Amino acid sequence: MELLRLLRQRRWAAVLGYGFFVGMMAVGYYYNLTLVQLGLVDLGERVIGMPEQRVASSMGVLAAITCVVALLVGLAMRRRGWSQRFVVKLRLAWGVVLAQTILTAIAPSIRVESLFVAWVAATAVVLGVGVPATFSMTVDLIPVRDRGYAAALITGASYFAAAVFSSTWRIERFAAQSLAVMIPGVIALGVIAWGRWRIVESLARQHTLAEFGRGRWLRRDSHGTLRGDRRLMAVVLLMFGIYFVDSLGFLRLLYAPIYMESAWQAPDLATHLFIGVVHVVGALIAGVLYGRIDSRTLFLWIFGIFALTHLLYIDRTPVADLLPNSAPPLAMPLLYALTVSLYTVINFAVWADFSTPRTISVNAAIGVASSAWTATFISTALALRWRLGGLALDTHLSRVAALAMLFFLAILLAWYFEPAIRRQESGDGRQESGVSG
Amino acid sequence: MRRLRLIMLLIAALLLAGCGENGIAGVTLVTEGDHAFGPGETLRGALVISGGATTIPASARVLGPIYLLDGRLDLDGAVRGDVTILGGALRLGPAAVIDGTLNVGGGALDRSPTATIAGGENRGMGVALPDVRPATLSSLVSRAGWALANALALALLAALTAQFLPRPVSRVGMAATRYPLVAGALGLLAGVVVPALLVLMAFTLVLIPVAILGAALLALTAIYGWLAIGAALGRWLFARLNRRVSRAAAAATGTLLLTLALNVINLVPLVGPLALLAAVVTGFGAAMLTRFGLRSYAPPDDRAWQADWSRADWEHRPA
Repeated sequence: MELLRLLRQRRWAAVLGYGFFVGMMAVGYYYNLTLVQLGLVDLGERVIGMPEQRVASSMGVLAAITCVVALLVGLAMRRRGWSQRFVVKLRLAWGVVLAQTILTAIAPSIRVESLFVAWVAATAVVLGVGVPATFSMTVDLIPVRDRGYAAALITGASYFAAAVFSSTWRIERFAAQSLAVMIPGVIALGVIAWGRWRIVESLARQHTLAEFGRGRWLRRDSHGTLRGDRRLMAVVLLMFGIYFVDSLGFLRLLYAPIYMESAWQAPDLATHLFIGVVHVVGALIAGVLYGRIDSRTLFLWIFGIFALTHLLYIDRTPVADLLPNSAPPLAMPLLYALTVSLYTVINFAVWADFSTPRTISVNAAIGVASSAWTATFISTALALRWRLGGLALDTHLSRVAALAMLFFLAILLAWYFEPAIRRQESGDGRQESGVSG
Repeated sequence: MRRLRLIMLLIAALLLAGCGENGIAGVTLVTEGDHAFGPGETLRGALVISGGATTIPASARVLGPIYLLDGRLDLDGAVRGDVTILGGALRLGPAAVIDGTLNVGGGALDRSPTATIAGGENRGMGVALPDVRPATLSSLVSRAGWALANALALALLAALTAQFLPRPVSRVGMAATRYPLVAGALGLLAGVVVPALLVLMAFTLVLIPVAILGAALLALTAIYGWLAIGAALGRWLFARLNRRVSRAAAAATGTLLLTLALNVINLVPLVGPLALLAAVVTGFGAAMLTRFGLRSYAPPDDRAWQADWSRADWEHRPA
């Protein structure tokens, strides 16, 4: 683990930068998981009394605006060279946290739909700026070899906190929890970003080192420029598929009280701790495996587990209908939490590995915004349409499971045919008998 | 051909070894209809209920575990083993006695206050901390005897495996000992997911034989990984002692020591079972990483791409 090497070499600036990045992203992701994704729904439906459909539409709008803003900001950062300037990224991040603090503080007092829509739009713009600004700091602060581990720490910490500290999905509670961290955070970040510190200057040079700045999956094109190899688009597509499958399934399970109240909204702390620990274990597994085994294997596991989990829910649904007081097994949320952690680790680590300091802002915007947020936008609309159209729970989940299995199959086929495609591209004219690989 | 026959014999021996008192190879499956045990009737082996209604009266006994996947079970007799509910409905009558643990992973439970459950009740997927029961001399001697017999059997198996599959065993052992984190992570992932898949298969009823085969394959993989780690340990030990011995002897010695050591460590509450689990999942993961030893495993080499880096790659170039 590179962090241990940095500690042995007493490179304290690098160690502090590492810790700063993990902390910042963990808090940011926790904020996204709780206040943005769950608190928004509570604010719209319970506090303001809006119909479900309009709240869901607002979520879709949030996702769409975030996607567009992230892409624009990512491109702007690349053109202006901000992608390679750590101090600029720090100041952008400070601006994002400041804006989010203000939005969080006013959220619980919103009572009118028009203000709610304006709040959602503002949150989306801020998120859109935040994604490229914060993700692009990976090349400044996290050694390439440790991207999996750092992503695991971020994922494990944020999901553990979300599972254990948010049994009550209320905007007031989320806002209070978030402000407790964000207010001191924005002050501290402001001091760091706008002051002159030798540590910051030292961190600002780290992206020039290959151990920080050079992604794993780059190749030189015909002009000698380092670019992400062609797997980048495949990963974008796969991450889109993962977010789509996850969101499409979970947005339906949210409205099945028997599954929510026995797991994510259970009254007992032990269940929350269990789910939190599973998230941490899943994150650590992914952190260790990332970069050390073929990434296709990890994607196969993710889609495979998604399919299995949804099939378990489908299998369980008739029993739940017949025995409404029977507790569903925790195997399903266990598998769900495990696979969510697996793909979240990939999401935090992978974009920087297709990037140089010049391209990280755009690649992070494409990856995070266009795969995650676009998938959320489309799946939210689809899940709502199916549910309000009266589609039964098990049928809904069958479709989700089928989609997961299709992606699984697609990866298997791509893997199987890859050697033949490579030979074709390299212009190997020899006649081959049979298909190898 | 001779090697193949020996391997088949090994597999058969393993399967026969499972036909112990708990009747791993003896399974009664109830899928539908009404089934009532007679007074005083004794069933040996596991009872798996995936439908229908089963009644075990007060004088009847089941000498093995019970798995309730679906359907209904009225239990008023004695069970020498664990009872696990994953679905369906279980009624524990006033005279019911469960010698093991009642694991409630789903379904409905109606328990009489006078029903006895010796090992306690586990709900959901929670991990039950092991009981630290007071040890008697006879129980310690008995446990030591079983541990030694187990270790000797595994040592023999290791010797045979190392003799007939030297390179695969070596590859698995190297993956487990050089990259224990990667092997352990993959083993843990598979160890959590694959059993869930097997349970889902079992729920389909039609795939129960496949699920049983899958469970057997899972166990064999874990044993294979264990033997490979033992073989690697044996090679290392004799290299340190500067002694040349045969592959089989090194594997047998290493596996014997590994098994005995972990049996001793296992006596330490919590830490022991965790250490044992870590060793098992690491071996299992190493077997998967190397495809049962058919290929070597090594993580990607970073040095080549890290050398390909220049100022032009990170400097800002205005448009």
